[in-house]
Amino acid sequence: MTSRRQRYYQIKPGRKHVKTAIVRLVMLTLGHAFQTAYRIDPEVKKEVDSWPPTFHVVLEVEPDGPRMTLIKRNGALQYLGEKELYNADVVIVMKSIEFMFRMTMGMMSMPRIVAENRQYMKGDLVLAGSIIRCMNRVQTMMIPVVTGLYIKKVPPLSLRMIKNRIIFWTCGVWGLVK
Amino acid sequence: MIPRYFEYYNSVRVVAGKHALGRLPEELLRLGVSRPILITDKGVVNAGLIDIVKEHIEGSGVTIGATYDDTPVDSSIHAVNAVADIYRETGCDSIIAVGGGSVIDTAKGVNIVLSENTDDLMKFRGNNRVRAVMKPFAVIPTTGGTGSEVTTAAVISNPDENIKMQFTTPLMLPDFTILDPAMTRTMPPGITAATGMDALTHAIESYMSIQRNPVSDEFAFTAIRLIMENLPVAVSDGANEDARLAIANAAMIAGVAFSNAMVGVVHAVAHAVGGVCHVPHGIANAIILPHGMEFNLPKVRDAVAGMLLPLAGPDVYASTPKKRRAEKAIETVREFAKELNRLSGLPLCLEDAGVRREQLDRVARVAINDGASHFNPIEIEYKDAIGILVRAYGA
Ligand SMILES: NC(=O)c1ccc[n+]([C@@H]2O[C@H](COP(=O)([O-])OP(=O)(O)OC[C@H]3O[C@@H](n4cnc5c(N)ncnc54)[C@H](O)[C@@H]3O)[C@@H](O)[C@H]2O)c1
Ligand SMILES: [Fe+2]
Repeated sequence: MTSRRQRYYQIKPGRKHVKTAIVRLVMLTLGHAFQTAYRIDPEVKKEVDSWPPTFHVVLEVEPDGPRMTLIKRNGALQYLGEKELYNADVVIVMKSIEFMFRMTMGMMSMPRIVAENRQYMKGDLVLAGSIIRCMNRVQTMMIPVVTGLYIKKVPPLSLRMIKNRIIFWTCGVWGLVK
Repeated sequence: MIPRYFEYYNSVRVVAGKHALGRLPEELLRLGVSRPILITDKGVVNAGLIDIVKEHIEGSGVTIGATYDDTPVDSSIHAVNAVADIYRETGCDSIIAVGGGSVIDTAKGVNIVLSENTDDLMKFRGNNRVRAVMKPFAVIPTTGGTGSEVTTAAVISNPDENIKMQFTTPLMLPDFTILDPAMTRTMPPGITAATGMDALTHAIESYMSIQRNPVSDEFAFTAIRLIMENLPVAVSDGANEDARLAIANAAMIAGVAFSNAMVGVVHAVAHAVGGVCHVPHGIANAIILPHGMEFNLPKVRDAVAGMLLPLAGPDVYASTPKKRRAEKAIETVREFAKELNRLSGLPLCLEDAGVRREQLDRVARVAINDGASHFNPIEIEYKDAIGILVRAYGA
């Protein structure tokens, strides 16, 4: 006779290891891209300079990561890896790894993610717009073709953008541009 | 059009109609409470509206535990904290807001502070930060505009840091709202027109939003039709109860639409005009609305064309060639604002609303950071915002 435990089996959440690993890698790259863009993209610099002098931004996936932590302090934008902060000024939270994965793979645009309520924001929403504009620039710097899928308006391609892309993929991606 | 995915939610019990206020005590007792704090402002008190509420609780088991009538226009964090203190001191057990958007949003803030048992509202800025079970909460709107009685959002200013803080959570939705024409009939023509245009903007913007869905679309259509048919009457003949009731309903219905579909470029710019130049919310919306529709036209031409039906009625819709419907819809909105201008002096351009030209640059910078822009079909850059403002500046 089967036990009641076996008959009325429980279902555990399990984990999406592969998708989580891919998202983790993309977020690491994105973190370094932000750091680089602040140094070489005047538009991003202008946005970030408009934030308060010390400012923490976190992009995280519920329930327990991965996470990307950025801090603006002493005139630099630094990527702090997955550091957990209790006083982040703005936190962009993706409600599940599935949709973060779809976004990073270009299967879903950021505006769609917002429209479908797959994310939410904590903190000072006034600066969220600025952060998203930076994100648009940073993504265009990183990826040459798929950006039209990601964002509403692709920043125009310029020589400077191509140069920046080269700088990023040769030095920035290793965290060498700070 | 069915989107790939959508969410819809509204949990507010709506009690609407002539003498609807008579239901107030019963609805409160049904929630198991009998000692509400009443939040309002001086304008509402002077219009005699609190006396009407008093009449309706006479002989019931309900006692108004305290009355707060110092709510400032656009609400403030100080008012929120003051009300929360009074609530605790006087042993109240629930909250009633009687007023326009400023009063309702203050009450929403008070509910957060009390339910989370905190003295720092700032911690709850953003979406869905609140977790606590809320106090029983009723709203009796006295303007026909914001729809705040059915929305998940509140905007509260923090004068110390000169910012407007946004809060959204479905937990903030009132338990019930009472729409009674007796509560809006004292509204002066100017405020009736301005708040009515706020409601029209909610409906039109929700219909252009990237979060629109079949449910919000239906609400938006009905709201637009009701406003077009009844607002001029409510403005010119304030004592007309049928028109007042229709507008109260339209504002609520538009509130349901935009609470689910969100608003866009018009509100982004109007919030900034309000924040920087202190132009009332409804007036700012009324001025920006046609320009915002024009700005969005390249992306949502079909939606704008579709709105011609509720805006101008079936005859105009049918006799306008398909290609011209979108432009005709915008033209109809312009004409409507002009009609309200003749009836009530509603300003038609930013200059007439007291905005100075040198303020436009600052307004544009604030507008592009407004939360409403995330839901607009087209990205709003500085040059877009300043373009809209310049076009809206002179008549
Ligand atoms: N939470 C939301 O979803 C939402 C949506 C839109 C706007 N808002 C906010 O609402 C606020 C604007 O609200 P509003 O447009 O309703 O105006 P309001 O509440 O500021 O009221 C305007 C004036 O009208 C007076 N008044 C109100 N009702 C009256 C009546 N029946 N008779 C005589 N005088 C009356 C008031 O005393 C006040 O002086 C803004 O702060 C805006 O940001 C919130
Ligand atoms: Fe509004």
